[in-house]
Amino acid sequence: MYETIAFYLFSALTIGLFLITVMSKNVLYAMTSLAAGMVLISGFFFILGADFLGVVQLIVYVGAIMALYSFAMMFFDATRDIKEKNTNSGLVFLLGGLSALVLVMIFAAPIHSDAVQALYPMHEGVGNAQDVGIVLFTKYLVPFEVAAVMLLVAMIAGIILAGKKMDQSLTEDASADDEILIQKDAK
Amino acid sequence: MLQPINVSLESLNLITLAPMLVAIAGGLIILVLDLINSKLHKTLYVMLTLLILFIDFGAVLGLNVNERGFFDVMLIDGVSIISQLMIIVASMLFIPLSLTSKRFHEYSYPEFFALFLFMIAGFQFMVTSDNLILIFVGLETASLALYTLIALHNRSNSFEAAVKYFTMGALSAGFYAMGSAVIYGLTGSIELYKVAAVLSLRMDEASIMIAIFGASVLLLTAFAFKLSLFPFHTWAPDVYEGASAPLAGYMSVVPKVAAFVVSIRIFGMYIDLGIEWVRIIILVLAVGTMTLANIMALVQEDVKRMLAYSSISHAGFIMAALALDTTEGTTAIFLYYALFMFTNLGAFAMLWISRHKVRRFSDRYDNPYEKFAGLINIMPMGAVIMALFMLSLAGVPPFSVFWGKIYVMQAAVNSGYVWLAIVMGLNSAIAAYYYLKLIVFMFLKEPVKSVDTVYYNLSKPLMAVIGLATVATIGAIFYIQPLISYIYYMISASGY
Amino acid sequence: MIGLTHYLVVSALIFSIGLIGVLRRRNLLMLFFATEVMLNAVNIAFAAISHFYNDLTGQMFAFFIIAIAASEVAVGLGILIVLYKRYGSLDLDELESMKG
Repeated sequence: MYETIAFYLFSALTIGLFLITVMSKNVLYAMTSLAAGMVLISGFFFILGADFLGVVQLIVYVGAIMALYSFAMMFFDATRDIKEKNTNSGLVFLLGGLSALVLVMIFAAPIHSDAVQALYPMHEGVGNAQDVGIVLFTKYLVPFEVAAVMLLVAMIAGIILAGKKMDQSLTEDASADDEILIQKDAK
Repeated sequence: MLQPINVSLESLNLITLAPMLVAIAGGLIILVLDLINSKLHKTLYVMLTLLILFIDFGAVLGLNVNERGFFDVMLIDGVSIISQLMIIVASMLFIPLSLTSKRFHEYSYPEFFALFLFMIAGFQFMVTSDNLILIFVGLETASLALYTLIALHNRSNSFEAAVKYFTMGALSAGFYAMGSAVIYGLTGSIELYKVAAVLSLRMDEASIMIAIFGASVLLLTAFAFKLSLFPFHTWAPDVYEGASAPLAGYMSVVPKVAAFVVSIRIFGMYIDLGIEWVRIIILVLAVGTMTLANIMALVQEDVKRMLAYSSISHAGFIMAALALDTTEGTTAIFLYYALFMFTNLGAFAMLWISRHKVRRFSDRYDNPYEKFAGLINIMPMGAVIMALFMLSLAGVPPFSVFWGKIYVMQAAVNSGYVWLAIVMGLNSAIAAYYYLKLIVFMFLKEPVKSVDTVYYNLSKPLMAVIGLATVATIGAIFYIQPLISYIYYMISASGY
Repeated sequence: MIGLTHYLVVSALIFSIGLIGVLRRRNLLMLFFATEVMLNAVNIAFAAISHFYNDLTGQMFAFFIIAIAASEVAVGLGILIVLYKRYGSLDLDELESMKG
């Protein structure tokens, strides 16, 4: 009973909030509703018994990603309404509606089958975090480490792209070449 | 309560990780070197990167075929070995192109080389797994590094290119994730060999056909973005134009090889299960891509954009081989890319040596056709080599790409797709027009501006790379037979 | 009783909302928001399937999607910042110089 109420409440709210994200003209509204929608999505995870996933969703998505967005907004002028010539044509909504229809049809098919066996089952009486930890650090250890490399790449990329060294472009500056020539002559 | 887990070290088969670890360790070494002494010259980093790539190459050669490691997440089969070798060879051709005589922004960062090595590691992970999670993570590692490498060129065009590529990449990541979710829902697994086993049991359930089909469409869309197939190719010419010339050449080979490997694993599985729709969709995409990209290439005013469209068209060509799903067809994919790699990188390197800091011939383009007008008078050797690459791309015998085209067509005819071979032949004929157009400009027109600096950016390492590409293009006839038999052996050993 | 299909349909709807956003937005920051919406939708699907199969693989995939989304944001915002410094705008139409 509670599950039903919670499910309908969360779905109505997330769909509404994400619609605001997609349709709003104001960056702040869009961002706030995105953050709120993500908080509510973690609600789905808690209903589904994926406690650890819910916590990660809250910490990483809402904590880290949205914080990153709001810091970035300090660079961009966020309070004013953005003027964009949105491709508001019927085609976009037709495509979106069509994809929604197709996806719903895919998912309405009886995907669930009893023939499917759980390869990494959850254990009774064991916390979700414990279960997740064991699978994550055995089977999925390699992807986990690759994800670490990916985050390193993202960090390096973020630092050098936003860094001061990008302000003066050697690619466009022809005098950068003369410098080398002068140094060569000096030798 | 949970039992403690005991894992023996032998069962992990650590050697399967060796090639990627070499690349990652190399990237870290470069970062640390920069930390210790930030005044080091880029030549050192180039040489270090080359050395690391050599070790990586050796590590890949030392792998045994058909092994699994790390709880079956890693999969070393023939396809993965060949594709890793191709990725590393293309990277070794690419990296010396940074030793230009002029300074460009990206090479002033030691991080450029570190990111480059991380990217290679990402691609290697992507091709050595049939676990959808590891494929995804590897793909994203590589893509994120690639976006940055494009943007580091640091001019307006390259930012625009990076942001376009990024947007398309993010969209394709969404489709890929959704497709994997549907597959997971159908089979309870995301490892392709288990997916195939469960799907073959469920094939007789008529009601889930739409879900099986939907998953393939979602994944196909994701990879159509990555492979720049029609109608998801629109980003590609812009991105190639905005990126620096060597990176554009690199992008038209390496990420596509990696994406093709994953496509072979996923869609090969679908076709093996007897789902003919997938084959039909792939054929439609392939024919559409090669034809439309060819027509678009005809009207381009810029040589780089022309080459971009031509490489899209070549990708369509190879996509058709994917639909055949025979050992010969899969061999054709790798053979074609192995040959195309040298010629295409050579052609883009030719654009790179003629790169100016300001656009001297046109406000809009870096490499308009006029720039190459009368090149034979200014730079006879360069003109001949460029013409050679163009002839090879057009499929003129006995240059390298010709053998690839013949092999693809032969594979198509052998599996009963005579019409496909005819379409391919017609397309090659159309393509010849725009390659010849450049040759006409180079040999028959008068130079637009007075003789000076067409070979502005030339340096010895660039000449060495172009020389190597030329030798590989001309000498194809001598190594084509052993190459085919090696690739064929590796592919058939891994059961494709 | 709420079944697997309920969750999956919600996920499909949210995914399509994100897709519409990606197709119609011309402001890059808003476009990035829409891609986040798409990835979130997929996470719901994975968590739901995982729950109904009693299998942990789906939750693993969701973790990695979160990690990927986080790193995409870092790189994407880096690119946006250099773009904004250069153009003073984040509108795809205004900065578009390459076409054809």
